[in-house]
Amino acid sequence: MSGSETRPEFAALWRQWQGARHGGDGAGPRAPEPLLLAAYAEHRLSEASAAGVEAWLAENSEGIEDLIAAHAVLDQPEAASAQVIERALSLVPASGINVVPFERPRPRVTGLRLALAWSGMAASIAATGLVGFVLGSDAYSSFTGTDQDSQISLSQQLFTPPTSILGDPGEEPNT
Amino acid sequence: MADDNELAALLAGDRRAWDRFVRRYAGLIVSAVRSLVREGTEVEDIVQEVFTRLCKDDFRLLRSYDPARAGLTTWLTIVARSTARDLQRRYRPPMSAIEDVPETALAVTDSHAEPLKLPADLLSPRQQLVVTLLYEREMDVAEIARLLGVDPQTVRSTHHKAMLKLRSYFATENR
Repeated sequence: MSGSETRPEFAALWRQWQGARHGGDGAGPRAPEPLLLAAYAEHRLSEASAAGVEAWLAENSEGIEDLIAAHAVLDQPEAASAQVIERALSLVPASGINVVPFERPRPRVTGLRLALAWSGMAASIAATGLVGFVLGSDAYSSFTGTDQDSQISLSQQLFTPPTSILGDPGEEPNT
Repeated sequence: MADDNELAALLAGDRRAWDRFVRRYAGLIVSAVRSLVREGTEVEDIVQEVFTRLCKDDFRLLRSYDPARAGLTTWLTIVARSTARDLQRRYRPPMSAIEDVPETALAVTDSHAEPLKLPADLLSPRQQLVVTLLYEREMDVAEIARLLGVDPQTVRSTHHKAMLKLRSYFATENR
């Protein structure tokens, strides 16, 4: 015990008080949560908030030891062994890394390109249909014996390129 | 703050942040546990349990920490000691040889005597705590002042007022 504050009379009063307290109904203050006790240890609480913690501390020697340790540990922390560190690291697996999958890049298709694509498809269908019609028409003519001398087949009309824009198809092209 | 950013990254699931957290605070947690437990393997197991509690259920305990209320090191120290105490109680129920129990604890209480009930507000929480630290923990005034974050004169004054109250109360009761 320290100096002048601990006169025998005071010690006797304290023992009398302790004896009377422990003869009571035993209901004491609730244990503060760790964050509240930590705030008290750092002297961050208001007087009113601190009163609840102090009432609990006065009846709980473990709490007082935690308070003392909170200061002592900060002064001289130990070094942890490699085994301790490895065990703790294994608690969060490598797959715990938050991997964000990249979306496959899609080519951006503008309206113009889309229109051209559909137009091309329509044109190819039209051309295919026309060729089919022409070939079918020629085949029909040959099967039915239609006079072919008086008319040029539809396919020749369609697929023989003109020698000039204004000239006769029978003329020799100019060299 | 850098620590807040680190904590945020850890809570977001960044494995590297967890690695840094473990390496930085493992020593502190070992020190906190060793202040309660001496045996080497038991210390390692308890330290692992502390880290397990911190990251369990998507870091639920770590998410409860609020940097605005207390420092992380202080909070971790208290959590570590609380975990150590829980595990010690779970695996080693408190037992004492009968020779070690003082005779006063074995005494049969006189059921006819009314236990003295102290008024709840006889001493303030601060007065209770100062008196407990002085007489039960046998700490000196300077240590108590450091622990409570007050001036040593405040400790003396608090003690003196507490003694006056106790003296007055028991003098009245004994009449």
